[in-house]
Amino acid sequence: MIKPSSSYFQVQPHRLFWFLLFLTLTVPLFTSLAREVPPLTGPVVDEVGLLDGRELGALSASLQKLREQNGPQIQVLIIDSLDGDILEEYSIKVVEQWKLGGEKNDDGVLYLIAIKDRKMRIEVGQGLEGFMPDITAGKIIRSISPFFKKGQYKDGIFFGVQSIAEKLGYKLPDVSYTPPPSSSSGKGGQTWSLLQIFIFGIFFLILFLFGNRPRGHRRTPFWYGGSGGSSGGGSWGGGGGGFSGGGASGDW
Amino acid sequence: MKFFFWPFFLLTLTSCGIQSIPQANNEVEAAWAEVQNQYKRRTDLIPNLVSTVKGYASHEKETLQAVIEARSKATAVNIDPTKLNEENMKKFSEAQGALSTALSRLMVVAEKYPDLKANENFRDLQTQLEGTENRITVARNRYIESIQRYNNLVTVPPTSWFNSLFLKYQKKPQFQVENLQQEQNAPKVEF
Repeated sequence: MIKPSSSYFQVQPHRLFWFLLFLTLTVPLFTSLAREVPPLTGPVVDEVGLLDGRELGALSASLQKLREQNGPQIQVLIIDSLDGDILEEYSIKVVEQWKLGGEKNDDGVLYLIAIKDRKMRIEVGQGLEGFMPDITAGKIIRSISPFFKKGQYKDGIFFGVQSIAEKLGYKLPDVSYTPPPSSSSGKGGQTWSLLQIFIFGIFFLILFLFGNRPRGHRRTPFWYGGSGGSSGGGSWGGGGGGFSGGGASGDW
Repeated sequence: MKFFFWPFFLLTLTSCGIQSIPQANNEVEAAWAEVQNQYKRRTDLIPNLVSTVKGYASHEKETLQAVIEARSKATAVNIDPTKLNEENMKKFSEAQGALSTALSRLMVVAEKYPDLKANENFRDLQTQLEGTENRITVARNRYIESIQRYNNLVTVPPTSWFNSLFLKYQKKPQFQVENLQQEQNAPKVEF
């Protein structure tokens, strides 16, 4: 008797096990992306896609250069949703895991934006509290809100980062924000990222079924040395700066 | 046999707690100093807050007075980091909890006065207050972690054996938040 053999799609029991395990492990991934701290891929981590490739690259390069000039380590993180986490708790989790700022200088700053929650926060490292006390951070947040209220996310972000650098005594290299002639909406990025997630999911699914082991994290167009907050030899990583919870939060 | 004795002995010596327990103890004291530091920061903000609110809401005498009294009670309770026992901790967290309650009542009252809410100085104070409350939370969490690490070293073998033989350190009480409900309602004013 000749057994029909499907050389392409042989689902053996142990593979089925891995497949089901994959599903149970990644279903939470599809539903709650922001609860965990994403990998530190560069000065600007944009999970929503508010900035396009060129803008993200320009801002990242600028912040990288600022750091190389011994300026503060300014980090931007844009997430879709806090998924019920408290903004300030999540913010501290991020800065501690990413170890933003130098160990001696504590000069890290995180600008965190949670789109669906319409909340944002500037988390200020201990070494920068003299230049950016809570009141100053609060004023910057309030100056960004009008942009976001109008849906002008890119403008708000560039303006915000520029303001932060200025208050800390620095000018952003190679980047200068000027108000655009007309407002542009940045909201198109949201639904696209969900689609990206599904495409990735199906991609990994196929890889699993064919027996390959996919890597755990998603690659952005800009891959900086060091991932997951390790400060090793990477060109962008934290040095373990201290944060005492200073800064300001706001919404729009 | 004898050749291996010394390396083995030295190895166990370093992992037994001779370094780690005193280190953890120092961390606890430092973390506690930081907690008190941040609570003090809050009490320092209050005189300015009270006078600003008074300027717009002078009729709210009871609420304002409650804050002033709670503040003076809280500043009177200071715990030396080397005397972190359960009784002291209770006194401290009760005093601070009462202040949190009084403050949150004041902020609720302030909501009724649109002129006050629009006042730039008041808004700055609000930002400072929120920032301070956040710092208190962060300092407290770190303190709780430091207590946990210390208690683990003191109660869990093998370091606990070393402790009971030589150091005889006591387990430290964990931070209990008195008036937990009020603490959770501590001023986080959102407009």
